[in-house]
This record gives sequence, structure tokens and C-alpha cells, in this order.
Amino acid sequence: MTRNLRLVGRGVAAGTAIGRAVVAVRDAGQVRYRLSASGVDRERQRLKAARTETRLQLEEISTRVSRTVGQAQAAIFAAQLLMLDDPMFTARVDALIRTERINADWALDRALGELRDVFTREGDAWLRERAGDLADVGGRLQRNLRPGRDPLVDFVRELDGPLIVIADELSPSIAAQLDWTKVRGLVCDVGSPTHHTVILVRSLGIPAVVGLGSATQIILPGQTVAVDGATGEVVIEPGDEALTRWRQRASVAEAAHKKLDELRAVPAETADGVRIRLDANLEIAEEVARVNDVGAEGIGLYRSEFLLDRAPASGAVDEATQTETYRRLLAAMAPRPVTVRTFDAGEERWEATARAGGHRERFGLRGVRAALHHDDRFRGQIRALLSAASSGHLRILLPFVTSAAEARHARALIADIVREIPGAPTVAIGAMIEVPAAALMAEHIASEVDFLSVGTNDLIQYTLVIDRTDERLSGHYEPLEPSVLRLLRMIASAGRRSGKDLSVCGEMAADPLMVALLVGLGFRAFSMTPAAIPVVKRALRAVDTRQVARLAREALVAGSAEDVHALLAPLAAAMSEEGQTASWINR
Amino acid sequence: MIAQSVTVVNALGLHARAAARFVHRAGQFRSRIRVARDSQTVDGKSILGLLLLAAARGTVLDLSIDGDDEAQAMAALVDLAARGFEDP
Repeated sequence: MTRNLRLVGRGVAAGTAIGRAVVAVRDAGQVRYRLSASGVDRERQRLKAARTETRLQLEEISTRVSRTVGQAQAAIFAAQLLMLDDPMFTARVDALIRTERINADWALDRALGELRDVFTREGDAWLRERAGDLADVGGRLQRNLRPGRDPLVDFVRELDGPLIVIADELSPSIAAQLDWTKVRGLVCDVGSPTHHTVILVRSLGIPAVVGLGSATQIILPGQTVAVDGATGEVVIEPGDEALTRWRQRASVAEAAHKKLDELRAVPAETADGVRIRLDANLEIAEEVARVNDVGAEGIGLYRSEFLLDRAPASGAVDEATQTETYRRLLAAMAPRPVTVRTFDAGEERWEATARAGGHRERFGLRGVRAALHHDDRFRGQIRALLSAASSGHLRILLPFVTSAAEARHARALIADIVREIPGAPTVAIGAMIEVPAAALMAEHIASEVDFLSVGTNDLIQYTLVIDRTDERLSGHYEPLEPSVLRLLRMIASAGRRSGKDLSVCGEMAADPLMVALLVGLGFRAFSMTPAAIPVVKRALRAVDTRQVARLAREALVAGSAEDVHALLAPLAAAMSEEGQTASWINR
Repeated sequence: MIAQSVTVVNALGLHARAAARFVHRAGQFRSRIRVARDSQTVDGKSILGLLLLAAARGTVLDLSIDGDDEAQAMAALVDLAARGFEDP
């Protein structure tokens, strides 16, 4: 048994947690957990029910096939029915649940694995094909263990916390449905700081470590796991020494939190008295209380596509539900503004098959392009937003705008809907600047809209041609590339010349050092994950705008990201010395 | 317990459909039924077990049956094998 084994990955959401491991693989399609004595009976019952259901399905298919195709073809299902009741298979699954105290999904997977090994070892091609039949029956049986439900979501509901989810990868649609009062930490084999799931857990204050490679194989279900989302440390079965260290870190974090709390009511300002607006990003409308806790001046980015994640597999979410969600959110924040970004979902998100995998980003119909293409979906969302608008201060943000014409078209569409709704209030319409084309044409886009919002995650991705979900490229995702900084500078200038409101809402805005540089580039408003607001606010109080403007000018003519890092090193060092951030200005 | 050997006579050997028929027939008896090929012995009521024997035409299988209806079971299974597992 592994004891006190330390793994180090990439800490992407700060905080510490200790809990029992639940392992989820195949995009959370399969969950592994060690059962309590009472859990054993429940899992055996579940297996029995799934077997009954599978038998009924196979009998029905067999009858249908023999009627419509022929008896010979139906025989394969007769063979599958026998496999279902085979002593080498289901009895083995049941035995594994009883003796190893593991959940049915896991036991089923292990039994199938054992049989597959035997079948393929025999080396006979014909026999290997029969293994295909077995996999077919096994897959059907597994689906019937939790029909129509996401296994991980369903399983967490039945367990007692605190739990740590160990996943190969976790899609945002599963993450959005998890009970995070029980799941206190997340560990993933793959992932990056800008993955949607990571953005979500960070906003919930849940520590996360990603990029561990094979955590799902090393960490056994049911083991106690300690996670530090700042250092990236994961300790399996921590000993007394590690536990003490974790308790210390928790109390240090609490003390730092208290100190930051004192700044809550103070407006964000630089050392030389320049006022900076700090808004919060929000993914789940019900989490709005966290935004109020940290003293955000508004919601700079509500990622409405998370509504889709919680909708049924069809991806549809009806207008009435949307209206109610927006209404509650607006009322909770009033009179402060709430910027709702319309669905920023690629095509794959609208299809049920998207849940089965295929997470790689594609150049498809995204953002406002999708809105203009499938305008019924967009119209529905705009109608819901306008119906809710009277409850507070609403701003509508269009994602993925690539040209002034696109912004103009979307705006015209919205104007049509406004005319359909009697008494609809005037609502500010903004455009996301998150692709190089939009950055280059920001001034023209600004003339079509009321405000601009910079999405740095995508801007970096599309400028540097980095797929954020491809772990092989994660090292190349570099916000400080001068190419990115030059585009940001263009956007800041366009914003200033147009006189339109401009803010930055990507992950860069949550990093105090980046924020200092962005202030130097001319930005004065930021929207970030709620937990970052107090940290950024404190850091800003030590920033002199003239000094960072000078740094920004040097960064813009630098030849590489390394050079920019070197330029920022003194500032970074000063910022990391907690409480002494003010001193660097006088050096 | 009784034992007897049979030879696989049908062209396709003990394939999935043939094995399914064997298991079906075996399942109608209370006795414990074992099927062996060389050193490998499997449960005669397990289709997965029978498939693992990979018994092609001409393979000799040793049946051993133990229980109160062993005689009827042996007669039925030997007959099934002789008829090529009812392959067309």
C-alpha cells in the first residue's frame, strides 16, 4: 500500500484539502470507489437490476432482429444473453463487489478486463472477435447501472464527503453538476489553467492540481489524499508530518484571507490614486453570494453557456428557465451591473454526442457566428435577457466577434427583438475582443457597440496557435509573448480613443503581476474569478501607473517572452514578498 | 460421475452459435458439467468457457458430468455434438 507518497503536478486553483479519493476515468464515464459494508449490498442490488434490464433489452432486440432480419442474425443476441448470465462474467462481477468492496462499475470493468486478457491471449482472431461481443454486453450492462445519468454526479450524491475527485480529465458539463460541498479537491491527469473546468473550480475556491499524467492509476480509490492547489502537491495517505503541514497551510491561508478581508470595503486604487474597477467572473448563477463577499463592483463576465452544461443532454435550456436565472442574478447584484455573455459554445456543445468526448477545440461556428447562424437559439436567449432586464442593470456581451460587420448584424438582430417586446429597457451591447482580427480592428468594432471586453485566454490561444486542451502545448501558452502584448496595446488605445468602456476578463486579470502590466498598457477595468479580487486589489495599492507604463513600453519592444519576464522580475519578486509590495516602487 | 469423449464434427467448430446451443442444452440439467480439451477444463454451462476452448473441427472434447440427472445430460450432449451442434 502506498503511504505518504508525494506527487507534484501543476497547481491551478489555490487552497488545501484532504479527503477520500473517488477515481473517475473515461471522461467520468466510469467511477471507482471503495465501498462501506452497507454500500456493498446497494451495489449488488444495482448490478442485479442492471442485469435484469439488460436481459429485457437483449430479448427485445433478439426478437426484433429474428423477425425483421432473420434467425441466424438473431443468434448473436442469444449468445450475448448467455454471456450476460455466464458464471465467468456476472458471477465474477458480483464476487468482486463482495470480496474487494468495490463499486459495480469498477468490478464490471475489472471482470471484463480479466476476460479480455484471456480471450486475446489465446491469440485466435476469431476468439478476439468474440471478445467484441463480450464488450458489447458489458457496455450495455454498464449503461444500465445508472441509466440516463452521469455516473460521477450520481455517485457523489450517494457518498459522504469530504471527497477528492481523481479524474483522467473532467469536462465542464460534469463539473458543473457535481456537489462541490462534498468534493473538496480535484486532481487531473491532464489539463491546463485555462480549461473551463479549472476556471469553474477556482471560482468555487476548490483546490485543483492538473497534469499529473497518471494520477488515476497511482491513486487507489478510497485512499486518503491531501491536495495543495498552490504548490501542486498531492500526498497519498499522508502521514502525521504531512497532515501537520496541511493544517498549517490551511491556517496561514485563513490568516491571509482575514487580512485581505479588511480591504473589502476599500475601492481599488493604485499607489498614485488611479481608480481601477474590479468586477467578478461568474459561471454558476447561484454562486452570486461569493461575488458579494469579495466586494466586486459588478459582474464583468457571466459565462451563460454553463447553463447549457446543467441542461439535459440535448443542450437545450428553455426561455422561461433562462429568464428566471437572469432575473435572480440581476436582482442579487442590483444596482451594480451584470454583464451576460451570450452562449459561447461551439457546435459540438449543442450535440449530445459532445458529452462522449471530442474536447479538442475546432474552428467551427463559435460565439456570435453561431448566434447569427442558428438565430432561433440566439433570439431565445436575447428574449429571456430582455424579459429579465427590469430586475437590475443588464449588459449583453457578444462572444467571439471577428469584425465590425458581425457586431453590427448581431446588434440589428437584437434591435428586432427589442421591438417585439413592449417596454423593453435599453440595454448596453458589448463585444468580446478575443481573436487577433478583432484586436486589429478594435476601433471599428468599438464604434458599433457600447463597450468592449478583452478575452485574453482565447486571444493568446489564437495569436500563438495553441490548443489549450493539448497538454503537449501547455508550455507554449505564454501571456507575455510580445505579440500578445502588442495586440493588447492596440485594444487599449482603441478603447481610449473611442471613449467606450473597456475591461479585461481573461485569466490574465486574476494574476497581480499581469494586472500591473495591463494597467501599464492602459487598462483600467478587470473582471476575474471572485477569489482573486482581494489579492489583485492589495497588489494594485502598491502599483504606480507611471512606473508600470514605463515597464509596458519596454515590454512592447522586447524580442521574446523571456525578455519580458526578465523586465518584470523585480516587480514579481516584490509582489511575492507578502505585505511588502509597496517597497518596489522606491527602489 | 460419468465421462465420455466427443469429436467436433461440424465445419465451423464450436463457434458462438454452436456454443450457445450447447450451453442451452446443458442448462436444462441440474448436474455439474465439465468440458475439457487437452489440459484446459471449463464449465459446460459457460459460453465464455466453451469459446475459450477454441475447438475447431476434429477437436476431441472430454465431457465429465456429475449429478442426479447425469445420464440424461450426457446422452443429450453427446447427441448434440454428433449432430454438429445443429449447424445447418
